[in-house]
Amino acid sequence: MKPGNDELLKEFTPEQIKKLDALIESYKGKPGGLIPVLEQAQEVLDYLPISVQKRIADRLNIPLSQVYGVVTFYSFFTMTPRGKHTCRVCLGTACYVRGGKVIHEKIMKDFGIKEGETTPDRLFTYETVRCLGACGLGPVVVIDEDVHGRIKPEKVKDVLSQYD
Amino acid sequence: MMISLIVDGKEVQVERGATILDAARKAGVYIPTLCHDSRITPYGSCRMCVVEDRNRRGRLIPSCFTPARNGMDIITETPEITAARRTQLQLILTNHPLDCPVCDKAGECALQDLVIRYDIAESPYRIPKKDRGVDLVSPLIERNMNRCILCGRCVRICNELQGTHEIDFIHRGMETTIGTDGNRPLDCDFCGQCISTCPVGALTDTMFKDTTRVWKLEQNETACSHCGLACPIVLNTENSEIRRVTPPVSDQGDIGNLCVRGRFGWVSYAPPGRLSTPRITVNGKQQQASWPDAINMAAQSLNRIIDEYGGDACAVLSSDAWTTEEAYAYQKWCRKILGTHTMGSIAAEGYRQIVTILVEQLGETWNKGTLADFENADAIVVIGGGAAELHPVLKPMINSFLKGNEKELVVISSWRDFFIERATLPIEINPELRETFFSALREALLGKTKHHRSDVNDFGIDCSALAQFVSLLHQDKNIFLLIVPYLFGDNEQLGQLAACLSSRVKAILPLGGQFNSRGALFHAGFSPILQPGGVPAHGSQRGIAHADELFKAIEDGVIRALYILGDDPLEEYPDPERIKKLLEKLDLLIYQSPYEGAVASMAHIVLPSATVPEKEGSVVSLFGESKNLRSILPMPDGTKSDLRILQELVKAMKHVGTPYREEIICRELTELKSDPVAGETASQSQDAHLEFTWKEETINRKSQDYPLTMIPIPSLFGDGMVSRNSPQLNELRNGISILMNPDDFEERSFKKKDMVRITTPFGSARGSVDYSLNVRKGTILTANITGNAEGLSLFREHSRIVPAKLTRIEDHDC
Repeated sequence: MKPGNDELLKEFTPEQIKKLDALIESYKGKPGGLIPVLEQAQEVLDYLPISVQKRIADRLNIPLSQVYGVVTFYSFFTMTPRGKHTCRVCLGTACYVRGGKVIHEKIMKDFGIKEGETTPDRLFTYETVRCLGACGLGPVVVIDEDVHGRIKPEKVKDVLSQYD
Repeated sequence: MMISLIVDGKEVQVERGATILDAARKAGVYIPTLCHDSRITPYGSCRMCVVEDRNRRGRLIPSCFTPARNGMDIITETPEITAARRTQLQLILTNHPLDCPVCDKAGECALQDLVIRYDIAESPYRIPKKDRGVDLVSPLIERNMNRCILCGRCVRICNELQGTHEIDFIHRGMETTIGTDGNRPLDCDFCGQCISTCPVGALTDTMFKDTTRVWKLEQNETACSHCGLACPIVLNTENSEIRRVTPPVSDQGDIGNLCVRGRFGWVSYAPPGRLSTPRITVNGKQQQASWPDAINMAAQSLNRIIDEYGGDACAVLSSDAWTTEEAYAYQKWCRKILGTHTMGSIAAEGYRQIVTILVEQLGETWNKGTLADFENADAIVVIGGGAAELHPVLKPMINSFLKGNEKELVVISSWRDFFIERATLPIEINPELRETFFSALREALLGKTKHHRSDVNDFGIDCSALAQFVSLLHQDKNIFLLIVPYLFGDNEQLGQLAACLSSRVKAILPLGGQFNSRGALFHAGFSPILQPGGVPAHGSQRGIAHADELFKAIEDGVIRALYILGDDPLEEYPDPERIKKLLEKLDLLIYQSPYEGAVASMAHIVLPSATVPEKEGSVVSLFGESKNLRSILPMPDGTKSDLRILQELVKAMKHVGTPYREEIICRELTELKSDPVAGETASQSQDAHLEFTWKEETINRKSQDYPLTMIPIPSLFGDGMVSRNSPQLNELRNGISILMNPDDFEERSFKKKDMVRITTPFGSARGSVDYSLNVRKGTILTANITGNAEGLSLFREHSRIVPAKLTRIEDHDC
């Protein structure tokens, strides 16, 4: 066990930390290993708080500021916990004019969160997208891999309540 | 190989690999830049330096990172180029606040200059300016990211040159800014190299903030007196008061390197609360006195001791923060009037110990090396840990060195310091076996093995690493050897090993010297073993060479009078209790310094003296560069320079004549050999010199009671007297700091920055604790010890390492 575990153990299980260590170990000394490590670490841990970044930086012998620079660059990486499900509302032109904006506002109001945030119960992470190529179905809400088309604002809650 | 090209009609030859910008600068042609700093790798982000090649019209080339080619015909100003630069500046201004009236950079801002040059009134692009925040929390460095133009110079200098990588581009994309991980305040070396390179007012010096405007400043070049590198610095003064320190900038725009001490430690050049009145002790009590009374008392007391016990009963200690002329005058006084050869320095004791051994082994001359030798070496070999911690400007120097082709850096150290982390060949040795290893290595190199039949593995060293080192020594390579003495303890083995390597290396440079240690020893002869001009002294011409012998002599009553110039045995030598007791035995203790050191209160006579920027004279840096200093700051009322005090003292001692006048001292010094220290490395030909008997070292090893091995290490923020008198550096030192291995740290359930009690068989002290993967298990590194009586009590005279234990300080214990 290393210092920093206190912080890590608050959020993650010992098994997760063990997995993290193993995957860092497998990229040690390999150039270009940072991004794959971050990607897989996020798979294992769901998100990458500073304590995780520090562990990766220390063990790959990369400056922490550089790791942080990479994490903040790619929108794929997140430093806050993600919800169990990801809810994306399309705000592309077609969806927008067909009521996407209203759905967007309603979700923010109903759940009390903004774009990119996660509900306090960590069930949903809310995001917006610009066009999913399903304009004919607009307005579109995508939850995880499921596409829900022609959603009326008052139906949003029903759709979301199918997920737990 | 040289190539030839034309820049704005001027033909110029440059080395292959040089950039177009280099060629233009050589030809004396100006090309504007914002993101360029000659100390770091070109980046090409600002696009101000675009030029055109007449042979390939219609293409704008960034000159700062395009290599010059043979036959290029470069034009640096055309309507197209000007238009491109103007657009670029307008884009930069889109997100740059025009807060020049409250910006410290105004008047020396590269962006401001270019905006004027290219006649841009405002940016045509009107979008709301981004608020990227201002870091007002970090010490000494303010980071106003709203002013940042994202040229990346600070990121590159911090990473490439300083090796710290504290900051980087974060939130890249539309929200790009420069910051630390998680946007926490800075926790770095505070070298301020980022401030020196920032072309705009994004990074500024908080000590300078809102004090004045830059155009009111007078620039005075002098040498930094925080350590022996004596780096060139520019004291920026207004009405003879220091406002800030900046690095010198050459005509070509090259910026010098400085460290935290040089840039932020200037308060100690004119410290508030300094000594300003002489004091004498009457009936056991110190009281203020006039200069004539104090000088007369000093003169009479000295004369009485010489009459009674002979000149041998006197000793002089100096912190080497003085000029060569002063050192020369004092040694002359010691030798001619007092009749003693005992002249030393507690602050530079390690340096002096190594020099003593090298002089004894190698005689009059050995090549101590110059800056050019350092830069042009094929390999730098460092023996001992803490080179960059002792002299922080070695950090950018070694990183620049390593950028060269096939350069090697060998570091042999018992702890993982800055250098060993960068070494191409790191050799880490078990601290407990260090001396044995040095002795065994030395004997192996000399082809004798009579004392040791050791196995390399006993020392925990990788066999192949050692073989590589030995093979390097036998290659026809230009090797520069740096010797790093211990903070405390005996440097005999280290010095002997250095001497034994002399025939295989180009130069041997001992580190750890104070401001003018090299000038004082090798030029002025302020030394018990060297006479002026660096001539070794023999027999009765010699004085007591080591601090331990000196203190023993005081204890035994052999030394009756001690004259201290700026040095402080109570703040810089282990076991201050003992030192205090033995100093009390002295018949006469004179303390002369600008600062109120711990020993001042014990002195019979206290004489306030001048700081370096108040003096005139020459100094010699550890790399042998001779520098002439002029007096920049006025000497405050009540203080006198060391030379002036000596002149009055000589007069009061009734020695007629004026052999201590400045011009006579200067003439005598110049009549000495001009550079007595240069010369080929003497090889060890006389076997008689080599005889050296190895005594098994008696160190205290760790045990159940004291399970950790403590290594005292130098403080990045300075261990010397000058650094200790800077409030800013003291705040950064923030008491004793202890660094340990993560496992040991976890075992004790410590938290970062916890206050802990450190206990050794000799004493106990409080310090804050942290962990690093670079500390080996069972070892702790302790810094910021000098000037701290508790810290010094943890050690004994010869204890270079000490067994220790750590306990958490409970709240009620505080």
